[in-house]
Amino acid sequence: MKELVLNGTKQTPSVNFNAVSGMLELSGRSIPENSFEFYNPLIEWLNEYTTVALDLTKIKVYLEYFNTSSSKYILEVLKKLKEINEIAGKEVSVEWCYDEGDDEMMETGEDYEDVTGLQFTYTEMEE
Amino acid sequence: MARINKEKKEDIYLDEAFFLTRSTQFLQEEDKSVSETKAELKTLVTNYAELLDQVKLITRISDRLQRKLDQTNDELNNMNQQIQEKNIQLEKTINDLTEAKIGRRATTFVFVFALALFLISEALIEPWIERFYNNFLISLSIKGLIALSIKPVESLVERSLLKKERARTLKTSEIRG
Repeated sequence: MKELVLNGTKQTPSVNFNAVSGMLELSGRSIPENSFEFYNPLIEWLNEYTTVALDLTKIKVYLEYFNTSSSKYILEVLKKLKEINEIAGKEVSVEWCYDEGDDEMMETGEDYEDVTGLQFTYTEMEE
Repeated sequence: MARINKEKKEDIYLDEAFFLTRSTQFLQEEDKSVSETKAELKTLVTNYAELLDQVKLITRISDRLQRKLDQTNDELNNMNQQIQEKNIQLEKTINDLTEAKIGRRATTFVFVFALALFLISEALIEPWIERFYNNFLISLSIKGLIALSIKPVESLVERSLLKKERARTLKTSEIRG
């Protein structure tokens, strides 16, 4: 399965989804003009990954800022991972990173954790 | 164009729209069994629960982001105000410095002017007075007049140089702007 690599821009986050290592990364700013266009390939990649998922999949989310429509798609990404966890019985861990002192972003991670039921670890990144 | 943009924005609710259409169509069909109706209702409830989760989460996140934006806006406003205050202070300092510089230049000019007048008075006017009037009072008055003219001339020169300097600064800032 091909890895999914997208370079970040001022409006979109960088993406590095690697099926071989089971490491997924999403970082930067997410305010795309068309969130569907940006996130749909990620969801499709995850649909395919579900069938070949490793025993442990790690996702690192380090977002500085995201808009409302992105928040919906981030939830979809995490729910896809929850499916891998629940249906395929594979372990999934989420590392939620946030800038030093950005309590709002940490609380946002907690909200995602509540809704998805996935195991989150929180990392405060030094500036 | 506006319609295309609207459709693009609504793309994020594609799944939800699909299930709504499906359930609406289901309602319009009359020959459905109880088990089919239950299955459809179950799908609808599942999707409704999913949507409710999303709405709760998105609302919380949006409120938090709004708060964050407000805080950032407040910080920016405060910084803006501080920059404006510093700007005023800087402008005042620059004005003071310019005035001092111009003042020094004007004093030098007036000193040279007074010296020239004194020399002219000693070399040309004094002998002329001695020759035609031979009056000490007239000679003293002329010297007094020279001395009294120093301050007004200095002010005049200072004002003129300052005006010139301000016009030059304005021109420079217009070119930069």
